[in-house]
Parts: sequence; structure tokens; C-alpha cells
Amino acid sequence: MKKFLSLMLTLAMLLGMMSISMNALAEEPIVIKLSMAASDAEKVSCESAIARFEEKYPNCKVDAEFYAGLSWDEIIQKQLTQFASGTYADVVYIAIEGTQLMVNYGLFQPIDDLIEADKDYFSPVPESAFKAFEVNGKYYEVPFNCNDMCIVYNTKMFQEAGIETPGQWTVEEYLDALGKIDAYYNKPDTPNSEKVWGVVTGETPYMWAAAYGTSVLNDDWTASNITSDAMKEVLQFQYDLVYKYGYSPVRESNTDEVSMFCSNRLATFIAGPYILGSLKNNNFTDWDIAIVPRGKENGSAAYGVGGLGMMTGCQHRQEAFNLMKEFCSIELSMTQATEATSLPLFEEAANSEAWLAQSPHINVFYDELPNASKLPSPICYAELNVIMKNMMTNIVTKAMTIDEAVALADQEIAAAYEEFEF
Amino acid sequence: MSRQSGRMAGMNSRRKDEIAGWLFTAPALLMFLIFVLIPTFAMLYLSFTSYKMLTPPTFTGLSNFIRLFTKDSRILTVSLNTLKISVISVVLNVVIGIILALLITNRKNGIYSYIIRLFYFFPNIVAPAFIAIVWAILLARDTGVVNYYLHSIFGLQPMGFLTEGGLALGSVIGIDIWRNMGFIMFILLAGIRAIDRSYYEAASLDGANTFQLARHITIPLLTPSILLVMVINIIGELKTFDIPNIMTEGGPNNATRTVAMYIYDTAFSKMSMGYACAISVLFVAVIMVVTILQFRLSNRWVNYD
Repeated sequence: MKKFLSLMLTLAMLLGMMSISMNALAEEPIVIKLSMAASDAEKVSCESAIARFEEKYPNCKVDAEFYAGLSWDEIIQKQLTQFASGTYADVVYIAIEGTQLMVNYGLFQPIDDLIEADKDYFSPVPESAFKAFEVNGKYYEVPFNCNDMCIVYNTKMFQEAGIETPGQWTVEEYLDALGKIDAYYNKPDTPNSEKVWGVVTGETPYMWAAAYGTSVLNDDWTASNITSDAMKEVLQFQYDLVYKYGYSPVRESNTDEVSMFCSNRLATFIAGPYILGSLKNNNFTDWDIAIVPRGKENGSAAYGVGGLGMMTGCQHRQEAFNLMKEFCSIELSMTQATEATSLPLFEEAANSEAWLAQSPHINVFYDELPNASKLPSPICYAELNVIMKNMMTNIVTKAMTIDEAVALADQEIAAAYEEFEF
Repeated sequence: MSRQSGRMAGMNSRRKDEIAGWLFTAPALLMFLIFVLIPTFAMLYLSFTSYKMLTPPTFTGLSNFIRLFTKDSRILTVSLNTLKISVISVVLNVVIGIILALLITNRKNGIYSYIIRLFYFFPNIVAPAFIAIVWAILLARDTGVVNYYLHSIFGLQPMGFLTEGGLALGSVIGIDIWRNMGFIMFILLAGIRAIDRSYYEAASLDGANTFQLARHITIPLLTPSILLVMVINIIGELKTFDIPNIMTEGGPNNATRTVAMYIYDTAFSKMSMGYACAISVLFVAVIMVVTILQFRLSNRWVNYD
């Protein structure tokens, strides 16, 4: 009898424990891990997106990791290191710069079916924002923020130097404007350290290459195009800005264009909407936007997009995608417009009063996007960037001639591609 | 019987001491194992593989080392840069450190001596990244303060302190010396203070002047401290990374790229972890040889009396 009782008691306990754990399982929320690079201002809008998502889907929780102050090379390195150590998230924020690498290593899964199912939802978002994440005909990310490059210019300086508000200008017209700035603010004997500069040569040649209708890589980013005559013309233009015209200082690793611009030492610089926050923080208001001057008729602006990709190991595909959608929503887009942290992706937000109040021609950013060229972001982007930076330094410091510098860069790009052959 | 039990008790006590010794050193040994020994063996293993972090390493034998010695044209440049930085910095650091230590030792005024020591030591307590950023701004060719004064006082044209090959390397070395000389001065100062005063008193009675005291007493008796700062300094200089990385990013044309920077670029920009480990193995071997040589050669010039 005793044995029977103890057996029954054990069975009852086991059943009890099982029902408790079943209930716990039923109530256990789905946790989506998110890894996100965001500035303080962006973090606020991201957190509100997460809050909206959790409200819409009470069975889901977001475990978000935010980090800031890293370059794209470093963000890619961070994600790769996390993956290598097995501590990766379900949803990862990575810009176009890292998409090819993530896809080619099989870290991101395609999300065409999910995007297709929500086609109407994404219809107000420019196609170019999605196109940035297309690899071999499949989409791998949902866009979150977008930056196309335009000229930011000092309106007061332009006015004082008698330069008209720039519209569809060419490189020649741009040089003419910089010449007027130079003549108005500098004397022939003004030492460099006291000069007002027109522009600073690019750290990399991507932006001016797009303005000249060319690129450092071929069209499908599978080989170098750096030794082409078109690219040499771009590099010659950069060199001339320093040594022929004297409108640009020699760029060094710590050249800070925003500080120079906000202290009225620089008349123009190329940047995307990401720069607006810095101008605001410096309480600088004498600025407006113009298109990047075209070197050739087929020239365009260059653009990059940051987006959220779904890792291959993600267990809750639909839930993760719902979170990604929240980061590409009209609500978030409106916040981006108000906070000026990025180009608002939704047309409604780009036409909102909050966004248009940023500067008289802020709409140039949105108008330029449909025809802009993607920032060349091959699988070996991190190394390409280093090669391009070194090449530009070699040219603007006269360490090498343009021919020597492009020949070296060409060899290095070829070697970089070899390293990533699959 | 009693002698035997006494021996047993002695053995037990020795064993207890041994166990206690092992227990006391266990945390340090464990840390050494986890943070030094295992990573070192991992590095050694990975140097024989092709490893891109996202896929498992594949054994490739000596191919990384063959590439290092036969195909990599940049390794020679970065090794030479590192060698130049190390040799020039160490020699000048030690010479300037000795001169400063001797000058400060001879100062009688306590507050003055204290302020001078603080002045020279200050750069050593500032993070190298800040030092690099501030100096890069000061030395900028077209916007820097140094060029501004060189022009306004001497009428000089802008100098590319960080953009012209030789000058850039010189600037990196100069800033490194400025940062380290205070620390070296302090160690040498402590060495000078440890010298028995009776030597000086005896020499003074024999009519030796300040220079002779320094030449024949201070410097010979300071050689153990000089050896110490040389060993510490040369290991530190061979690993130079932060200052050139921030100030010049290795440019122009690799003129300031060091071996440590090259290893970092290879591992994280090129994602060639296996090859980066092969360079690291060679680098560790070079540091070991240099350090052993320093100690071996020290018998000829270090005075331990």
C-alpha cells in the first residue's frame, strides 16, 4: 500500500511539474535579439519603434544591443566577430557596405517572400532604398536610414562673395564659385593656416567618381575600374583642387570638415543627411543644400543605405520581419524628419513641414535619391576602403603620381578580391 | 620509531606547504593559461591555417610563412619602419632620460624639482589616442598651429609634418619620445637615488667635478636601470600602434605603417586571420630574440656592483 501511495504521489508531482513547465512555455515570449548601431538621437527613435512593436505583438520581446561611434568597417568587424564567437543577434543593422559580405558568407537569409507579402506597406519607400540590398536578384535587408551625398554650403559666404544659389551646377560652375570665395576671403599672401577654404578633397574618391559618371569598380563590383581614364580624370580634379587652384587643404587623417565649416573656415563640403545633427549641435544655421556638381552629363549623386538584415539562424522569421518593418515605418520616418537623423524614407515624411523646415533646399536630398548611384560596396569593402584612403593620401600628399597610385591600388584591389574568392 | 614519525610529520608539512603554494599561485596560473598560453598556442596553430573567422580554419601548412618571406612586399617596409621607430626612440629616450634625470637630481629646490618632474611625466599619464589627436591637429599642414607660427615667425612655407614620408616618420618618433621620456627619467631618477652617497663623497674628496661624477660614478652604477628601461622601451616601441594609426593611418605610402598596424589591417580589414597570426608569430620571435640579445649583451656593459 505504501509503495502504491508513494508511486501515485511521484506521478502526481511529475504531472504537476509538467503542467507548470507547459504553462511557462506557453507564456514564454518570443525574444528577438537586435544588434543596432545608433547615435543618441537615433537610439530614442529606435526605442520607440521597439515599444510600438512590443505593443502590437505582446507575445514578442526585443533584446536590443545598441552601440555608437563606430565606422562601417568597424561595425562589420563587430558583427563578424560576434558571429564567429556564436553570440549573434536575430536582426542585425548593417549598411550596404557590409551586405555583400554577410550574404556571401551565408549569414543573412533572403527576405523576398516577406517583402513581397507586404508590398503595399513598402510602396511609399523609394525603390532605390531596397535596390541597395539586392544581391544576385534577391533582397536581404529592409532599409532603415538613407544618405545620399549632396553639397552642404555656407549661405552667408556665398551671398557675401556674390554667388547665386546653386541649382543644377557643373564642376566648372562649382570651381567658379570656389574661385569667388577664394578671391573674396583670401589675399594672395594669406598663409594656408589662415585661409578660408572652398572644399576639402575626398577621403575616398567615391562621391566625385559618381559625379563624373564613373566608379572605382566596374558595374557589378567584380573588378577594379581605378585605372580607367574616367577615374584618372576624377583623381586629377581632386589633385588640382589642392595644387592647381589652391581651394582645398591637403586632407589629413584628422581633418574635421564640420568644425571647419561651422567656424567659417570652409565654404562647402560633401555630406549626406547624417551631418544635419552635427550642424544643429554646433548651432550653425547659415547652410543650405545643393546637388553635387556634375563632372559629366551622366554624373549623379552617390548614396548609401543602412538596413536591417535577418540572420540565417533566426528562429522566428515572421516576428523578426515584423520588427524590421517597424524600423521602416511612417512613424519612424517622421521622427527621422523631425530629428534630422537621416533622409526620411517615406515620401510623406520627406514632404513634412518638419523635414522641409531644416533648410530652404533640403528637398534636394530626397529628389536626388532616385537617380543616385549606389556606393561601391563589394564583398571586400573594408579592404577597398583602406586601399582607396591610402591611394588618396598618396595622391594629395604627392607621395606618388596619379598613375603610380592607381596602379598600386589596382593591384591591391585584385589581391583583395582573390582573398574573398568562393 | 619516533625518528620515523618525525620524518613523516616533516613530509606531511612539506606536502601541505606545496599544496598551499599551488593554491596561492593557482589564480595567477589559471589567468596565465587562459589569457596568455592558450591564445599563444591558438595563434601558433592558426598561423598554419587559412582562417577568415566565419568559416572553420583549414590547415595550409607553411603557406602563410612562404607568402610572408617570398611574396609580401609590404612586410619589409613595415618592419623597417618599426625598426627605425624602435631604435631611434629607444636611443633618444634613454639619452634624454639620463640627461633629465641628472639635471633634476642636481636641483636643490624641492618645489622646482617637483614641478619639473610633473611637467615631464604628464604626457605619460594621458591616453596615447588623445595625444595623437591633439598633435595631429597641431601639426596639420594647412590648418595646424605649428605651421601657422613657423610662417608668421620665420616666414616658412607649410610643412607636411604628417604628409611627407620622412617628416611623418620623424613626427611620430618625436611625439613618442616626448610621451615616454618622463617615464624613463623617473626610473633613472630612482636608480640614481639608490646609488650609495659614499661613492660621491670619496670622489669629491679626490677633486672630481660634476661631469666626472656623472661620467665615472652615476652612469656606470645606473647601467642596471638603463638596461631595464631599454628592455621595457624596446618591447613597447616594437608594438607601436596607436599614435601612427591615429595621426597618419600609416601613410603617406606606408611611411609610418608599423608591424602591429599591419597585423591589425591583415586580420580585420583583409580578414586574413591565419596570415595575421603568421606575421604575429614572426613578430613575437623577433621580440624574443631582441630581448634575449639585450640580456646577453648586457654582461658586457651593465655594472651590477
